[in-house]
Amino acid sequence: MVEIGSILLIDDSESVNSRNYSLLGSMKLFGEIKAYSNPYQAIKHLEKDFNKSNLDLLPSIIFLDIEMPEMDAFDFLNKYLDIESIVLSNYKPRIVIVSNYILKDRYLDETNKYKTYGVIGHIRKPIDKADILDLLEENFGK
Amino acid sequence: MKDLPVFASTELTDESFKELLPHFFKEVMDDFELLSDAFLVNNLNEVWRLAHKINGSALSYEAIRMSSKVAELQECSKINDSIKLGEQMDQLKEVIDLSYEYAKQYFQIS
Repeated sequence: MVEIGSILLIDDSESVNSRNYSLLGSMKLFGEIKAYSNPYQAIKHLEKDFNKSNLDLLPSIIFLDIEMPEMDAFDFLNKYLDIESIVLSNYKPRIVIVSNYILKDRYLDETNKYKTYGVIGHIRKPIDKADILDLLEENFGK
Repeated sequence: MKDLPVFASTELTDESFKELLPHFFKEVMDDFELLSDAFLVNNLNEVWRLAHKINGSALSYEAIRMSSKVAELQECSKINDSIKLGEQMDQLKEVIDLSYEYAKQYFQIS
């Protein structure tokens, strides 16, 4: 398996972020792990690190909660895709949608729509190590 | 619903979660207070949102009885039935308190 870079966790629940931070950290497969409970701050963080022109700072995988009060995952993706400098660059993070339930209806359609823009799949809570290993095998495996 | 275990297991799937459980319960209890306030002013969108948030946290910590109860409340918030919703709120509070006591007993959290 190739080396995995850093991770960005975005969930409005701080306790969920803490739990996933602990889980992913214990796997010792990733670089830096950052977590945000406010998606606007996460966008700012991405833009700031991108402007430092150091791609190593940027997350290889973004775990994105589907339902947040400030904006849902797809609003987040729209705002992210509005940052022209990032979108036109070679930086292409993998994005994983995280939800309480199996995706259906609008959420499933939207997730499929955003696959063109880096969404690689969907995981239900609780995230566990087997889910992560499957995901890595599918997307980063040799 | 009472047949569901309080947590998925009496052993934590990851020992490090034990340190995080007090944080989890603090956030859930704070969110429940906000949910109660939203219920009192009949702000059902906010009730739904906070119930959804508690559910996500409960699922992540494998507090499955809490998750199931709050999912029922979430569904109930979609229909404007304040009596039923009030009952669901009381039941959720009971499950949160029970889960906390359970965690103290089995996971020795402070």
